[in-house]
Amino acid sequence: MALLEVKNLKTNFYTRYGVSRAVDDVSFAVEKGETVGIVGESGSGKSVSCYSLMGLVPSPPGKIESGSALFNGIDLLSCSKKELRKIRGNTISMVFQDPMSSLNPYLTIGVQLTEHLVLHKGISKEEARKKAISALLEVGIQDPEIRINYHPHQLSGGMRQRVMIAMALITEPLLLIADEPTTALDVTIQAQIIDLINDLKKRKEMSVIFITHDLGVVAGIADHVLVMYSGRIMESGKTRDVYYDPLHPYTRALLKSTPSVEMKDKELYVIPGHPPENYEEVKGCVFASRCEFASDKCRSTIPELQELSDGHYSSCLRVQDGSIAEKLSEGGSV
Amino acid sequence: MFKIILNRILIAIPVLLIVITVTFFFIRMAPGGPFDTEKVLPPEITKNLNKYYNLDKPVFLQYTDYLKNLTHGDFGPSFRHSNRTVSEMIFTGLPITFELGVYAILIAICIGIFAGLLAALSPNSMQDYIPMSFAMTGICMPSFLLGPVLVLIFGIWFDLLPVSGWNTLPGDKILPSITLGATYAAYVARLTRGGMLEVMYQDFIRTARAKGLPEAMVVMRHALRGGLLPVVSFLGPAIAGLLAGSFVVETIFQVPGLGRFYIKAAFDRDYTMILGTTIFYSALIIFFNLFSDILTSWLDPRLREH
Amino acid sequence: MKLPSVKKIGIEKGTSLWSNSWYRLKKNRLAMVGLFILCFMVLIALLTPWIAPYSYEVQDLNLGAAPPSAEHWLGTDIFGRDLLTRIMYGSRISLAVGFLATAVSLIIGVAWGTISGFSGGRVDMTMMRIVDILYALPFIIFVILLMVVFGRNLFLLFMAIGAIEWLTMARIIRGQVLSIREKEYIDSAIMTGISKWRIITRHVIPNTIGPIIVYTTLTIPSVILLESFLSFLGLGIQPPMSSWGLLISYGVETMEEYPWLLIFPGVVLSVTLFSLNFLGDGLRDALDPKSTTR
Repeated sequence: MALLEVKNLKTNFYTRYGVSRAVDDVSFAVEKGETVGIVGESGSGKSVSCYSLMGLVPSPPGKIESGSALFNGIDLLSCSKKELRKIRGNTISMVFQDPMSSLNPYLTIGVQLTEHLVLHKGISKEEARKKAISALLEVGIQDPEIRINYHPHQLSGGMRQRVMIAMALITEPLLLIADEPTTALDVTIQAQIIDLINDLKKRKEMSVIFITHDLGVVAGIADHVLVMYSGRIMESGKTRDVYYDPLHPYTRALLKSTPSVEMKDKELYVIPGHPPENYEEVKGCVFASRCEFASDKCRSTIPELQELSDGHYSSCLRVQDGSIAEKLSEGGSV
Repeated sequence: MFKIILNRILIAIPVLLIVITVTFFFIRMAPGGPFDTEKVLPPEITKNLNKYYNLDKPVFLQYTDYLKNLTHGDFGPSFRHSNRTVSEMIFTGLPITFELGVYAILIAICIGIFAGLLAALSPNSMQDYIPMSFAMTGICMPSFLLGPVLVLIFGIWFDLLPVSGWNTLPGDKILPSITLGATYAAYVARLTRGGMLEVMYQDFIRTARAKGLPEAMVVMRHALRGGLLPVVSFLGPAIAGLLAGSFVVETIFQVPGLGRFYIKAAFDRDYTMILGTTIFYSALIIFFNLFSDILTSWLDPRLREH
Repeated sequence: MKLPSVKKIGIEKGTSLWSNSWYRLKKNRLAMVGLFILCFMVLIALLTPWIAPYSYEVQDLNLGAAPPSAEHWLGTDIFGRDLLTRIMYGSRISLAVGFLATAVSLIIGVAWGTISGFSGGRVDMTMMRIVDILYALPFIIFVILLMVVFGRNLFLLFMAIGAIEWLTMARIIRGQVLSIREKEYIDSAIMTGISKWRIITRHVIPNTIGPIIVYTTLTIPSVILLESFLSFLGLGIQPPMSSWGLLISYGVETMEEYPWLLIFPGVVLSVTLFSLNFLGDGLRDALDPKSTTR
């Protein structure tokens, strides 16, 4: 049984401009001990899906319309607030994008590391403090006994992100959701943080959901990849499969537009058009308006995710009916 | 952080000196003042003035003498009441005004923060509109309007509360305190609401929730410190306003505090009293501004370093 | 390579900051009500000499103080003078003081803040030091002192009030200028070779206009309040002129017997302050590009 099984999640945002379909019928699963990468542009719904699971979607204007998310036997989307709170920060933890704004500037990191530990595990403050110190060591922060009394602004960006990771892992969760944890950091630190997460994941036998827009990052860390666009899943499968044998024009386009050293003199590939605003009801495939392979059928029928080979799913109608299979593998990949 | 405190004190001292100097020389310029040689004054006053100011000495020496006397708390004799000194009058009125001020601030803080919190916790709902409308009323009905209206309603029409005096009739402290505190309660409520709303949208509040903390803890431990900062910085200037407000409130409610003395002195042209009280008030305001600045720096750890 | 044409996928029409702000302001009913009432008040004040029911000085000593009636909609004072007329004339003074003193503080504050913020370095430091010191001075006390010493001169009143309010304006403007200076688009403008003057007029000012408008709208009620406060204490406007503060002080004296003399001027003052404050709040919410539908 999968650790987390999400089925048909639909989340809408009701704003003055209209109703935005942030997450539009998303289903996926996370097995024990595996890392799932969710990739997409901004507005693809990758973050909102996970926020929906955790009950962190601000409720107006957001609303979870339907779906289920079975985690450890409990449906996160229909359980009581109290039950959800017991899970948050305890068996499911989150790490956010910007460690400077995500940490409370007025409190010491010691307090922020221990408050939920004391709450969820019922241990004493002194014990919690000891655990916090060893957690800091684990994430690679030197002199933790001193640093534990620091305020966030006294630490560097990379260190702050390590603190956030320590904060997430101190309760030994079964699942870690990392929402673009490396986007706000520079490249060298990014690599360190990714290694850290990988390392900790193996040691603690944790599952990880890693959200990012950076394909390069996902390649290095994920067992499974979900490619999202405009609230829907375009393709999902084992990382190797998706990267070397993309089964969706969008995935292929993403792979093509990632600059690489071999490209040298060639021009940068740009996907024509721009991501939709999610306000309109799209009758067919959401990507059709920007897709070079789009046909009339694509524009009029809403595609379903279909398993095309072992564990490899695609929601492209033309791939499903076989009309463009060769064209896709022509484009080359990363 | 000590640098900040030192910095503020270094500003405060010249400011105080400027105040004293300017006031001193202003008074000398006032027509009909103690230094207007054309004016005819009762002999006892002239005697006191001469003795205190040594009017035959050159002006600059008079000034330094005055400063010296100030350091002993000696503000000189009253211009109008020959048998009283300014210090005496200040210190008779001060405790009363102080008490009035304390009640007003307590009302302002308790009601204001409570109302502001209520409003911030469910924005754009009735829980928000109702307290904030009251707050707006408090701001738009100045104390010199609110006071008489309260007197009219509670004192005259319903005859529930006494309308004058302080400590002479039971309950006579209620209306003046409410009148003085109401406007500040209004400002505090708005500041609290604004500050809390800003904080509640910050990312670290989302993090706190993501850790599974109960909402009450999120608000109390994480939001409050940041959210109330604007209220703390407001306290300094608020004291200045409170003092000014006390003039009106004490006049309307016949409270024998320092404010009423000040206004009377202004009308009576009791120049030495005006001089002394101005300096005293200024010193108080400067002190409270300093205190508020220090408190703000202390509460925000990010400011401590700079 | 030809850039691919951008197909319009039917997004809402692009909105500039101004039209967006106006739209948001219009939606704020309280602010609109405030704006309407304010315009109404200003109109009445301007037209007073022509539309006031009675002449300013007319007394009717036989009538004395009378409650509202058909001839005197708001009643009369103890000299039989029509209260509505007095309030209308009073509004001319109160509103004039409000707008003019605010204008004075605006000009000084904007000039000071812009020069300080844009110059930077030691000039900035000195100018702001001066502001700091002046800020710490308890101005209310000084104003009262001024009034006492120099008598109640309308001109001095303006000066004194303007002198208090410009400080905060200068600080706000300087803050805005500083933050805009840092922004990348100024660097781009400089790099494309535009003169400093153009940068100020074309980039800095339009972006600082927002807070200026908001603060100005919120300063006016403070000024009106301050003038009323002084007049109430007897230190501001003097008879034969009248202002709302003065009318209220007269009303307080006789409030037990003739409550309407207190209530009507009080209501007018409060309503004006309400309108200005709601409008200012609305403007602040509408012009802040970052605020959501809070």
